[in-house]
Amino acid sequence: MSKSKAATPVISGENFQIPRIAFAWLLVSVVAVIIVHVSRLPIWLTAMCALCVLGRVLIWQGRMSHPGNRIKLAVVVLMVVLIIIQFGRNVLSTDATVGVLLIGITLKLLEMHRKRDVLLVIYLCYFTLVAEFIYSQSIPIAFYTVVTVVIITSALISLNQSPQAQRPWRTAKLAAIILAQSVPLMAACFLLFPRISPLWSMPLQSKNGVTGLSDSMSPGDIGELARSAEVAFRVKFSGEAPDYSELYWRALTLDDFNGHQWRRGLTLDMPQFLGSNPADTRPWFRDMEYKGRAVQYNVILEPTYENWIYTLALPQIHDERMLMGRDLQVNSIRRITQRYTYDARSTLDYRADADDEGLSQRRARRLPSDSNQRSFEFSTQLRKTVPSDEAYVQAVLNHYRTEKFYYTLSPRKLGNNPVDEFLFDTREGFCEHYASSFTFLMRAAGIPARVVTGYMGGEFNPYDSTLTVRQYDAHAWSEVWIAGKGWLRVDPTAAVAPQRISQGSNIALKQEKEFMNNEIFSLMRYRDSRLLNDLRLQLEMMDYAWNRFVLNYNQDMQFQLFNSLFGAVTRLKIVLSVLGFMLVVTLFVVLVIFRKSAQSKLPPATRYYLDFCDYLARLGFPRRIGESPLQYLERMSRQHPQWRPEIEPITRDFIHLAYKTNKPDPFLLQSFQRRVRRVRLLS
Amino acid sequence: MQIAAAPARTTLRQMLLRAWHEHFGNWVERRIPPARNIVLDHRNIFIIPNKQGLGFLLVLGLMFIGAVNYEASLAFALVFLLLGVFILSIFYTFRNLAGLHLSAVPGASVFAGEKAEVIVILTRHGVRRYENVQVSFKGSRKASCDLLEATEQRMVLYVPTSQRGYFDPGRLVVETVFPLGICRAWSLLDLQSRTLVYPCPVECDLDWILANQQHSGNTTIVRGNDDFHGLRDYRTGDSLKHVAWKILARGQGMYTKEYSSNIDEKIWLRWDMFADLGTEARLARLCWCVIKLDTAGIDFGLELPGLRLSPAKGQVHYVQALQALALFGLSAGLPP
Amino acid sequence: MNMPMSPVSNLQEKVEQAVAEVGKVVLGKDQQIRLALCCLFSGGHLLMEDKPGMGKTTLSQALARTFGLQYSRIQFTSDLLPADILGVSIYDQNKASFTFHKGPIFSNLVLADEINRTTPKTQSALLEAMEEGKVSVDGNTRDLPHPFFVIATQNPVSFSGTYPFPESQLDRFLMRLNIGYPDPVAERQLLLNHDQRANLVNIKQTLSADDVSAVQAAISTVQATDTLLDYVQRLVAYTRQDDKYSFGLSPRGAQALMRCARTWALMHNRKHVLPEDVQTVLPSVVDHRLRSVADTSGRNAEAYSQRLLTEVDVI
Repeated sequence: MSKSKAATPVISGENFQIPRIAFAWLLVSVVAVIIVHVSRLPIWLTAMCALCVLGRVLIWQGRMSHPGNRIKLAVVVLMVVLIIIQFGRNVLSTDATVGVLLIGITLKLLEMHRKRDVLLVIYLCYFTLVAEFIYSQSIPIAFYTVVTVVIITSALISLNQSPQAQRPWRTAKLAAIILAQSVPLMAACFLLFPRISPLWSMPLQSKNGVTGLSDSMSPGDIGELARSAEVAFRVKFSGEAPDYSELYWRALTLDDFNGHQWRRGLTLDMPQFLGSNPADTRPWFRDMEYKGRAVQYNVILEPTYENWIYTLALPQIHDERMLMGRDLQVNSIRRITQRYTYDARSTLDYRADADDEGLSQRRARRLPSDSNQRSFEFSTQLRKTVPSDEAYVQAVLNHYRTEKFYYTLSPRKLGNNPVDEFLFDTREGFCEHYASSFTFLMRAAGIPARVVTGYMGGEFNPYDSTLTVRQYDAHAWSEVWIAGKGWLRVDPTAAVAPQRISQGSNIALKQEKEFMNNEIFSLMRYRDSRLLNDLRLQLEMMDYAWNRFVLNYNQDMQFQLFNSLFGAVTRLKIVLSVLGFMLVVTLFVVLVIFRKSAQSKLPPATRYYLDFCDYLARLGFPRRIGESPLQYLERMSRQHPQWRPEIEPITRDFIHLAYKTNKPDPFLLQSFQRRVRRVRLLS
Repeated sequence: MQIAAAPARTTLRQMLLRAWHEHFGNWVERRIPPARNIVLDHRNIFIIPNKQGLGFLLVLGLMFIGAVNYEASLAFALVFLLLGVFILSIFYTFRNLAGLHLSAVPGASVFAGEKAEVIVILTRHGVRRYENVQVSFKGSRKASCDLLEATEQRMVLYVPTSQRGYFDPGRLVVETVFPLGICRAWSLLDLQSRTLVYPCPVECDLDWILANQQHSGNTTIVRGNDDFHGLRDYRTGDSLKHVAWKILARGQGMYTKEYSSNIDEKIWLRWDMFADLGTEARLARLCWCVIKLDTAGIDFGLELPGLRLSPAKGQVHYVQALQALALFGLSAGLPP
Repeated sequence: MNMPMSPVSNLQEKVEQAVAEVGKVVLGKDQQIRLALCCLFSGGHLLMEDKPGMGKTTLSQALARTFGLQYSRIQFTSDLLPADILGVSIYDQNKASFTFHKGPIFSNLVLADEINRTTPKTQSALLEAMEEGKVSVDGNTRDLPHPFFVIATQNPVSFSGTYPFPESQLDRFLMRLNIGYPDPVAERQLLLNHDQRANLVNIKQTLSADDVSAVQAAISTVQATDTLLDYVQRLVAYTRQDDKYSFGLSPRGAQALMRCARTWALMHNRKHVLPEDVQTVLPSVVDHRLRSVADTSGRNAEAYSQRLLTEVDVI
């Protein structure tokens, strides 16, 4: 028993002063919350936040006084004006909201006077964490957020510590312990708490900085994507995956050419809704023929801020969120601003739109007549030498194969007649050059043809056999229409660079300087090192699992889980299970409170003996305060001689266990516990 | 109409409030009986989320809406994690009081109107540590303390007093919001600390009192060291310094010399000196006189109805006199 | 336990013999005799306090005889001087030097009768000798024999002609015993028989100084488990917390309590301490070390140790 003299009790006064440790943790929290957003924020906003934090430190040190009301008002007005100028009409966008939130936190930091103000800053920090997840939910961000939550919670705890507290790490340790202990509850809630569909649609975010296909194609566009190794989407095949050379992930069908650029023309055919209403089927959709083997796969799409969906060959999708056009382009109804998952089925061998020649075929012959004259002439000449359209296709491919064409990422620039210049002058180009010129040559000969863009290939991860498709896998190819056979895929790139099709751009473009130019620091650059490459593939496997099972945990998966746990899902069952779960949690807390407080840290023998005393007390004979076990035994034996045979061995055992040694024999302890549990006394 | 209705409503509200306080007070009295030493446990700790806790829940609600609208799985996870923290904080806050031993020691006696001192002792047994536990009485400030390395803390609280007699500071409020500040655990304890409160001294004309002393005439012999008074038979244990050696040497036996202080000027403070005043007013003036005479070092006696303190001086006498004044006419030490 | 048979192993039998012997002259006070033996076995000094004529002196003499120790008796009076206890240096004309004549304190057992009758100066000479185990006279330090016990008796403080001990010096005594009135049976015996004190010479020696050393060596081997120490700590904490005591039990007091409880366990042939051991020795060890707020004379101390026993739970 040490009586402390050093710690003097503190009488809390009206003048609130934020404890030192709380202040430190608060600053760290604010900085931690801001840092993740810095890359997205306008520079002036970051600078302003930094200034506010710095100002707060100076005020704390006493080198600066609290800003006056006028200065505060001026700063707030300035901020409002700047934000309106910066974001303009997008003032309600997430970017702007985050900016306002961060400015708000740091300004509030400057003028904390009461405990309430500090609390507000801490709560705002918690709230801002949600904004992080709108942008990214990757594993590193999740880790970072966990650390940040520990820091913010430390700030909250130290705010409630007495001002004498001097050890910030002890506070952080407590925060970490509390958070770790709430993980089971979090996991259970995460799995079972009913997910609700969005209450209202959130303002769209800008597409700033997102690499990906665009809705048109001109020479050089796709080559640009080869600089990036960012993930476009991940695929997991159920069952056997198709041959590598069949992995043509189609996105856009471009049938309108203006001499330079390909885009998707207006279509008069109503698109087919891929939801669950078969009665409302378009005739062209009904007429499609699915032949041969179908592959089944699941795709997790990174946000593209566009509508299109990637599918193989002819897809059969049953998904309420999608539409399919007559040109086989599948679109999502909503723009894909979040990671997007869908299941699909594709038939590699099919016949589509084969029989009658309609508007779409006619449009697929159209060319601007005022440019690329040399190509027109070349095609007319070539067509005359072959008997059929199909032979013409082969002849053109042969031309690419036999003439000196180069497959390169950095071709020379093309002028006003890009097709002419490519075919006859430069002869160097990337897939879009070949697809574009090939389609032109087809159309010039009167064969309906169109350009398809998307991705080709991908990388199989041997650890979890998922296919990761990256931006550098972007590709463009052609489709030609042959009467009776329908639209057929022709890839002129394959004629020039067969390696690209059989092994992927990864291998085909390895030597190119421009290839993956954006990925200076990425592990992707070190694929030649076996060790690093293995490491990278394993990380990617984790990332896939994370995406698939954590981030993508949604209503459907919840329903499946429910199904496997409780059978058919009904509203009542959901409500009951949530209530039951809450009850269990509450009971647990209550139980812990009652058990721990009643008999904390007593040795087991003593605990059992006290249980026994409780039992006797319930019979109406409590042990008196200060009465030793032997005295109790004697008293009970006087009052109830018939109980002596029961009470005496318990008392003897207890004395043996509690007073003979500090390390009681576990067997004796066990038998003692049994004895206490089984004791029944009859009055 | 409105004018007539308004006061009625207030009184009704006041009545309800008073009834509630009374009911709650009775309930607490039964639930947590007074004791000198109380261990806090689930029987006497109340716990409820406080305003900050509701704020926390509000923030969680907003975060949840964000998570729903952006369909961000990790945001859901974060919300649930913090919800877990909220539930755990109930437990942690409870634990920051449970097992704490409390007792109170009354401080030195004070005069009515001054602040009485109550020392609250918080002790921890075992390994559990306590942080930022606050104790207060109604009318006192909140004192907060930690029990980390120390196993005992003594907190001094000052409670305003108004009446003489034994002062009951009411129930001690022990509370904590540690660690997260989103739940408040508290208890209301009657630690039976009673401080004696002397009457509030009121100045009066001391010279007049001194002038109007009724001299009793007879002098009382008080054993002291001032003058030689006489001889008495030696008793074993008497100081050898006081043995009358000369007489012993003459062979006349062993005697002890006795000395005395002669007091012929004794001041009596009497109840009827302030005949025209009420009870409390008289006590207040007598109290003032006692203080004055004690500082001046003059012997005085106190005479109240049913009580008589012989003239003397010194700390013990002074305290006895003040005690007599404080408790005069009070049964069982409780104020009228 | 494959230890050789130590004198401690059958201590209980020896103690009971001694109790029977002493019981010949002090009737019906077996428990007090045991406690007194416990105090001496623990190597502490004993203070016996009661009203005159309760047999304090008889008991202390009987104890001395049963140990067979060389003992001396000092009757404390108001004119007793420190030199009368400690001894004096006297000029020896034959040797032409000072020789030290040992006082009665140079014995294994000193019976100090009515020590509160003497002056504080003489009291403190005795207390200093008790505390230090040695005596300083004329600048020379002389060791007292081993073992060295003091059994002091005193009248209650309220009796006239006494010099009460300061509180701080009372805890030099390991135990304080109150003899108390004899029970009716013993009283009848007293009235029937002639003076029991005549039996004093018939008391046989049943214990020896070796027993005492053996017990003292064995004390530290007596097991006191955490459960027991928790109880003792609760007792001690209670005296420090409760405002009825003007001051709590000192660490020395707590140590004394444990030491006596251990000896008591040994005296019952046990190698571990039970709560009963603590409870039995508690009043004798603790009473003279506590003061109540209300009672400055220490008269009603007994009630306080009783309160400890009924307000502090064993487990």
